Amino acid sequence: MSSVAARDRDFDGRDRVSEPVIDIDVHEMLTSVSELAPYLEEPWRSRITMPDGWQGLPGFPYSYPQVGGLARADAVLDEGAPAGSSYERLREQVLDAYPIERAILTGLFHPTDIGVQPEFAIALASAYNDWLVDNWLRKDERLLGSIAVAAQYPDVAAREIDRLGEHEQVVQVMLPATSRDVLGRAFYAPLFEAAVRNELAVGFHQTNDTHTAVGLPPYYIEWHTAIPQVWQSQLIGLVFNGVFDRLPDLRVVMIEGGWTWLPSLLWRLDLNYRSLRREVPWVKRMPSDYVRENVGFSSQPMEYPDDPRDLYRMFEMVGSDRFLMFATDYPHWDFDAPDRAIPPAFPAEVRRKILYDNAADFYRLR
Amino acid sequence: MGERHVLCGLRELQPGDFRVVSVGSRELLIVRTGEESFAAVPNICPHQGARLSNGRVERIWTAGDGRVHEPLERFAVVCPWHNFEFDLSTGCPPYAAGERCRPRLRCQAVLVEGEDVVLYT
Repeated sequence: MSSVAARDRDFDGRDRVSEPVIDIDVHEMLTSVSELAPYLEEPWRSRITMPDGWQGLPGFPYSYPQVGGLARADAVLDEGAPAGSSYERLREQVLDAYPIERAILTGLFHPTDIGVQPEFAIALASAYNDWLVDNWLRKDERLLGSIAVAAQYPDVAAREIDRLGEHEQVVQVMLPATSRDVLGRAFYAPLFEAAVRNELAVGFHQTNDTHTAVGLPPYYIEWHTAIPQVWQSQLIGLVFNGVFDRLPDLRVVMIEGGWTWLPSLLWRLDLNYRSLRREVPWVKRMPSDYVRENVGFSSQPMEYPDDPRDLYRMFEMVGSDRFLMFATDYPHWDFDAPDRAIPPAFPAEVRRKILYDNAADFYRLR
Repeated sequence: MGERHVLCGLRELQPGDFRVVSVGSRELLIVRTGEESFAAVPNICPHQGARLSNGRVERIWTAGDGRVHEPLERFAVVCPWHNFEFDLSTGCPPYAAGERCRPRLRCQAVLVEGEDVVLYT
């Protein structure tokens, strides 16, 4: 589909988006881990180039029931290359298909998930970041990047953030929505301090290693429904471990974890703070204040209630119109289209904030 | 000035100690909050009605950058049921002022007159 044709799609007239859009979740992918070899020094390079070399990050335990697997079916590439590994296809299907002014690349490469050989994980993070700059950011000014880190060594992760933080297209540090640890605990402070020092946001996104509150349930549909628990747990951890008290300028974004649970979580955070504040007296304000001021959320996957007006009611109940930022999640199967995902129940000025203004402000893009 | 009620003697309570006093049909919690300062609040939690005297009066906890618990000079009463805290200098939760001050405990004006701690109704 040509870009003009794509932009001119007109399903029922109301759907077209002509104003600029910022997409905060686009996944650039390696074709294979061997692409990182040129960016690795020994002893790490041969760890992936040798026969029986490292095969990559932890695999996903579920088989995909979707028609295109993890990807939307029309994003699947020939010859077995992972969807999202082609800049040209991404440009055609996202950047040029809609008026995308900026797209924030979030990868899916999380060395934090490597539970072993932390020095190797550190080397992989740096190699990935250099690969990202060379193969994506240099190709298109619309693309913005996220830094991969190995959070298991927070001081080293901080140095990696310092190394790349001044790149004008780098806007974010990516962390896994992990179920293995609370990343708000003091141990990880150097990482968040580096993000603030470099004026970068910190994004949380699920990975192959994200488990639910009951581990890995039998079916993918269960996993996919339940994983917002992990973003909630990480958000709770950031608040009550005092991360926002120590770093009032920290900006955190919860990507692809849903957002309609936010009103009830804010209530529960504040209720428990009223009761149990004495345990964490370093937290000096009502928890919901930190969330509203310091935390953003991606819109995708947009919920689909029977009455779309309920979705807007949930949005209003959050108590801020600045928290939600549009995302496609390209190339994945649950892609949200900027011209269709936000129901008409959202007033035009609010749609504009979600599609553009909120991300422009949050990521300081203007 | 209305009817004078002697709540307790100035030196009957140590800072942080409290006593329950009936004033008319109301039960008040009287807390010594300083050398010559006292708080008088209804002995019923505005949240769900527990008797505050079954809870605890303590200095309000805070913490510095080192995340070590440090007591403030001010006292709070902690409800026995849900552990809601009320700053006895304001009646508000210690961390919430203005619109976020809820639930609020209505502090009564208490005077020290000679050796008496008194309330006028």
